[in-house]
Amino acid sequence: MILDNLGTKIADGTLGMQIFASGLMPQLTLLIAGLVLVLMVAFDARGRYRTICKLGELALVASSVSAIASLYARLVCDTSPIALPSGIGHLLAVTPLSLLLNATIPLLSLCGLATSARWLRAQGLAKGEFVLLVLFATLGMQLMLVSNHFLTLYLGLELQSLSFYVLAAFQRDNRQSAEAGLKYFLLGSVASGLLLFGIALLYGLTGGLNFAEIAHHLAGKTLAIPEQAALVFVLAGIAFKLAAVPFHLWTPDVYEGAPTPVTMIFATAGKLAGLGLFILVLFSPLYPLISQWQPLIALLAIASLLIGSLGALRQEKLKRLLGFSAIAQAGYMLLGITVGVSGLPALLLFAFTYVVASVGIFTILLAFHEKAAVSSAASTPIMTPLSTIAQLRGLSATHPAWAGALALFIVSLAGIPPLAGFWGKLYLLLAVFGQGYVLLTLIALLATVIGAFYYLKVAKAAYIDPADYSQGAASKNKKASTTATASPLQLNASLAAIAVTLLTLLTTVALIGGLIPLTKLLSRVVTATFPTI
Amino acid sequence: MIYPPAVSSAHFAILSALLFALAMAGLFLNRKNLIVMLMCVELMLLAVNLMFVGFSAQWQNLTGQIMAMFVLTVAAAEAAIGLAILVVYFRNRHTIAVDDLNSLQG
Amino acid sequence: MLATYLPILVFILLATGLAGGIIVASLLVAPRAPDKEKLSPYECGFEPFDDARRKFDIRFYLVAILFIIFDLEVAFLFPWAVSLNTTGVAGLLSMLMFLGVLTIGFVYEWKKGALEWH
Repeated sequence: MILDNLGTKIADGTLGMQIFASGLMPQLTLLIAGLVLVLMVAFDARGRYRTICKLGELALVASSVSAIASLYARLVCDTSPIALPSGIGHLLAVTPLSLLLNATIPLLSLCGLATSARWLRAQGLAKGEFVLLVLFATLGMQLMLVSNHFLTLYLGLELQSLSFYVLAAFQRDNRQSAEAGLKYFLLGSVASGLLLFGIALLYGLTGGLNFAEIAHHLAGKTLAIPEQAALVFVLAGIAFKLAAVPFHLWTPDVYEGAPTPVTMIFATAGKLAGLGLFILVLFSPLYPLISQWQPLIALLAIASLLIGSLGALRQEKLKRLLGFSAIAQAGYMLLGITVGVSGLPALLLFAFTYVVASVGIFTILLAFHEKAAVSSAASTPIMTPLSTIAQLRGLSATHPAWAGALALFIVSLAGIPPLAGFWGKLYLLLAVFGQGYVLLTLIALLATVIGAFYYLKVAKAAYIDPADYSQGAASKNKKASTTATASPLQLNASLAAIAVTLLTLLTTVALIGGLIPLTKLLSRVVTATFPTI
Repeated sequence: MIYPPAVSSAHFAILSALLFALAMAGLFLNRKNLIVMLMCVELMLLAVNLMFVGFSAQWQNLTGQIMAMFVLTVAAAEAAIGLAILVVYFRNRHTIAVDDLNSLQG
Repeated sequence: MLATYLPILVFILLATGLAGGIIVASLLVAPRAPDKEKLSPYECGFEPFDDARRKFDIRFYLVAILFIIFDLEVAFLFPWAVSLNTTGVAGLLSMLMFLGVLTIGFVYEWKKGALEWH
């Protein structure tokens, strides 16, 4: 027990060791840092965004590092984790998979913070609350992923969702941002309601909310309508978080309307957390119902692949295109879940390549803005972020390095060899095919072909299309008198530049060499997480 | 003496399912007012709460009641945030009609 | 059987007696100088008989929102108090942490001026 002999443990330092060994350090770090920062923001009259942002970034790094350390201790040193006190162990369970995701998610939030400081200041949004909301959203995601009970799962999910709703509406004087926040809030709270209804049905059927209890009770039962209803409601609730069809309607709107750094966090950290939530719920409490949910998930996957890909085809706006692409990616992820536990390593590899490419694309979007004077009366130009594909025209001529990085990420997302995205997709589709799902594989291939088309449209705009946009736009629309297509927003944050270079390297060379060790690691994590399945 | 039929957990389940369906119907049929939508979301969560409490009585354990308390507090936070976002939206658009949610289109 | 309800009867009698006594006492003892404002029903700053569909101050709404959150968080104190003899030191520490978090939130809203009425 952690709380026995508290005084002596604090004195000889074993308390710290025990807390570390419990694997809950990532969450504790973020919680304490978040609370301290709340006080700092409260007492900070001068709006020192930079200090608060740096401290927030530090907390995210510390959280990630402690998760990595715990994972290392579990997998490499084979130390058995100390048992959590029975009350806490009933509610929380730290698995290797949760540690892996909890190491990655803070890093993704960190990318969101690190690349956006200058952009936020240009928009007048550099407020300490932004950092706080990102920290608490991350804490919510982490908490959700270590839950072992539907109560903690719900609380973590809501902490994440409520922070996300506010973040989406963070640009208060922008009507699109406000509308995105409102839409996200309404649809999101309906989704939580559906999830809760499913949880309540499960409680009525089994008498418990602990994952092991539920799985135990469901295992021996003949499945009837109540069980299926509970399954459908829970699935509906979590499918919303992953943006899977038919609960995808919010995605393009929220991606477009939310401030770009926020969209970046939704598309990367939020996506990974949604995937973790899916794996957690389907492979732990609902695993006895696998024969019931497999066809359902396959259907959702097909629908997401087709609707996401076809919807993205006719998009002219970049963020909206990425929203539809996120739906299609949710389809690929669901394919991996359909396969079962054997598909999880491939699924995780795919998710990581997707997330890396997304971070890269959003970093580049954030680095550029269009200088557009709203009217002749306004002397200071208002910075509007890049929004349409057409604005990328001629980028390769003006900023070859940025254009090259953008093209790499796009091509990786499209799944073209030899980039990492290709290997992720190949591995995933092989896993699906290996289980005999021929039709699913064919549909995924079709979606990949369509995907290549719309992804390459973006690369084509940057590379092949002539930079005639500025004159055309100037004559058509006097409001947007752009001199150059886009000018880089002086990224003083060298962090952003470093991030882009690192990610580019990762996407090209390092991952090909690192693929095999990485997949081995992922397989070990998965087998250590689900030893009995 | 004739006893009234005992209230079983099935009755709770049916009542809360009806309330939940009512909330869903309100959400999807209402095309006028965003405040009504917020009220429907609250009704949804309260219907679920009723179900938790009913099942808690059936199983004779407290898990459902504790869950209901947490759902209640989360619902309050959700309502606060929802209303705040609604106010931000109203300041921008000067309307809270559902049909006006249309500035984001592809 | 019926005797178990005796305390309730005693309480009812006490309550009515006390309330009636106080009303009578105030009728007899208190000075009275009625005017229009004093006689009008009180309703926290509003005209009581008016069109109800009037715009009212957004600050009412802000206070109400802040109140409802703290009100519901405090609802956790009741089950905690009932079960404290079984949860012991861990229960006490948990509640202290919970109240600490709540206090930090309160300090934040106070410093941000959400509680000021002007």
